[in-house]
Amino acid sequence: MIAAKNLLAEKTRLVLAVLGVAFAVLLMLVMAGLFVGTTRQVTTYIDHSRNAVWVMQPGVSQMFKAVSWLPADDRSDLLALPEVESADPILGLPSDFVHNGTHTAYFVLGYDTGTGVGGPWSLADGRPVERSGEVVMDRILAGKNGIRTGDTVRIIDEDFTVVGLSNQTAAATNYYTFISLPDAARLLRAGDRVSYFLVQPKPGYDPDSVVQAVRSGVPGVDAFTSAAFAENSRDIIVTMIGRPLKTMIGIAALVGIVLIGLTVWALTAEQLVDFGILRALGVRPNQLWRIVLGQTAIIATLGYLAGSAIAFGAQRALGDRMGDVTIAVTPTMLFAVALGTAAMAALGSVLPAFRVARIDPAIAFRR
Amino acid sequence: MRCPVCHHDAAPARGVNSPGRFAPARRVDSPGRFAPARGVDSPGRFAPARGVDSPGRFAPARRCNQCRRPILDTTANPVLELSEVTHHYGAGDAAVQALGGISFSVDRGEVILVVGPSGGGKTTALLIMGLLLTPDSGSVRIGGQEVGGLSERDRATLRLLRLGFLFQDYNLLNSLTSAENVAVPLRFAGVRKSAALARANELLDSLGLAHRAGHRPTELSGGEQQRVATARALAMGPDLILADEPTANLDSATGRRVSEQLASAARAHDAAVVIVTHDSRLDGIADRIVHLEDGRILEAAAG
Repeated sequence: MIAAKNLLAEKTRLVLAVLGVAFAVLLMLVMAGLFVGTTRQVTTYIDHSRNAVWVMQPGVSQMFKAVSWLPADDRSDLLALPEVESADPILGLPSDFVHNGTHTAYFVLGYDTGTGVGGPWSLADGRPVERSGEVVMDRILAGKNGIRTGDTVRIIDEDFTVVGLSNQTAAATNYYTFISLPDAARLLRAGDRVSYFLVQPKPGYDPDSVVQAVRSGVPGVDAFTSAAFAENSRDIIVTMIGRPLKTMIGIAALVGIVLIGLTVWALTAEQLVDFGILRALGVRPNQLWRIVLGQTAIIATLGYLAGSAIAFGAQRALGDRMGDVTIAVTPTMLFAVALGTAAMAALGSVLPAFRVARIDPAIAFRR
Repeated sequence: MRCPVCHHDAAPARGVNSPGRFAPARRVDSPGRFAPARGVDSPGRFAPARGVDSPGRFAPARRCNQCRRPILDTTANPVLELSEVTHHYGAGDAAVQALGGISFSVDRGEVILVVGPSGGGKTTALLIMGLLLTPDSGSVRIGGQEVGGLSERDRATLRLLRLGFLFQDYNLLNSLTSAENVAVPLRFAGVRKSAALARANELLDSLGLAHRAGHRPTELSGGEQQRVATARALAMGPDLILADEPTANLDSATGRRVSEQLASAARAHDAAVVIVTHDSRLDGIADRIVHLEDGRILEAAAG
């Protein structure tokens, strides 16, 4: 009762304390959400290759920090395998998109416009590429550069007409831009080479058996299921951004502990005389601890709820507005941060609890 | 035995000093006398009684079935007994004697004023009587219980259950209403909320503050705050109320009215009151006046 009443008696103090905890919770959720969101979204292109098996140059196991070159005529070898239904080439390389003097790293992808395999799977505006000289750009990349459907943009060293804007093709480190396969071969000076084949298994065959069949049946290539290829690609990104983000999450947790600790400490300091009065009246130290812990629990719970709500709001706002920056706040993350907040609250209330336990009750007579 | 909080008939305490019970010490020497303790514990030493009771191990095992207040054995007179109590502040050459071996006792229903000049040892005596300060030597008994050997936890329990406090600055909790402030000791003693608030309202009513039960201290006058504090001091049905300059912040009329209410309420509840004060206007309410100067009792006069 006293814990809650003490907090409610000073509403400004309560609001500031809750905001302090909410900030710490928000910081942790945003950092963790950025980490999960980025690693999830970064493989969006691979994830949308449905059930395909990715065939690539041996030694290449992920998409972002390796270049795969395969002879285009490997396609016939792949189609000769009894497990293979189709094998569609894609040709892609990372490049530098320059528009009005602004440079943005992006990924140029050539695909077979006849089958559409490897092309954009969701359009925000316009239509898919139908002929040479046309491009479908990621809508976020287009938006950042003020590009609309119908505009002319320079891809590598040629001008293209933007015929469509694609959804879900942006991640923190990647924007995908789609052109026809012959255009890509010309721009990327690929000659008769492609980067990957997207192989669909025949009915009755699963991707793993196709992977084995390709590895044993087609010399000079390697193969991965889309899930394995995405996982490998994600791992590369995690090694690139994981450590700094995890460090920032750790710092956020430390900031949270310090914030809660300072908040509870300040709260306790303000109420020290009241605690002294209670001690004088005969309240035992462990009963005072319970008040301190009760106050901490209330602040931590309200702060957690507020921080989580703001993080959820930020997730939606950023997802809608920016597209390339995704904060994925998952139930597991919420649970983990709830535990973290409880741990922060427990740690943060240790010193104030000791302080309260050591109060000289005679303080009540010496105001 | 009637529960002082909910007035429900409670079963009498079993036995005199069952282990683990909040039982008063039954000393070998006669209680109720204004005399230093000369019992089984070493004379003149601040040491636990080694009698039939086991100090330092008490905890009321039984509670009122109605309100959950701990059930205490009725204590014998005197409710407070100080014997040859000395205390110094500081050490070595810098040591200052605050009390030089004072002895006095207080019986139930008695109102005693402790008066004297500043620095005479009044506050030190009050802190020792309130178990908030451990004297260098001597014996302190509350309700016959030698408190010298009690742990801090047991001292706190004894303060909560057997003592009531009034402070110069009222010391109400500003976040709580009057009724909630009065209920604080009850709630911390484990009394049910409804019973605690009923008791608080009953006490506030008896002190003419029923209409202020829902107000916070900041909304009350000084006199009202001190009356709320009086109700809080009476809430547990204590044996002894210790008051530190309770009228110092009140005008003379209010101070007199508050102290008269304190004295009559305490007598009605069969509680003793020790008031440390400079206020000579309170002489009229006291049964006895103890003059304390330079750490010694100069005289004990009838009020």
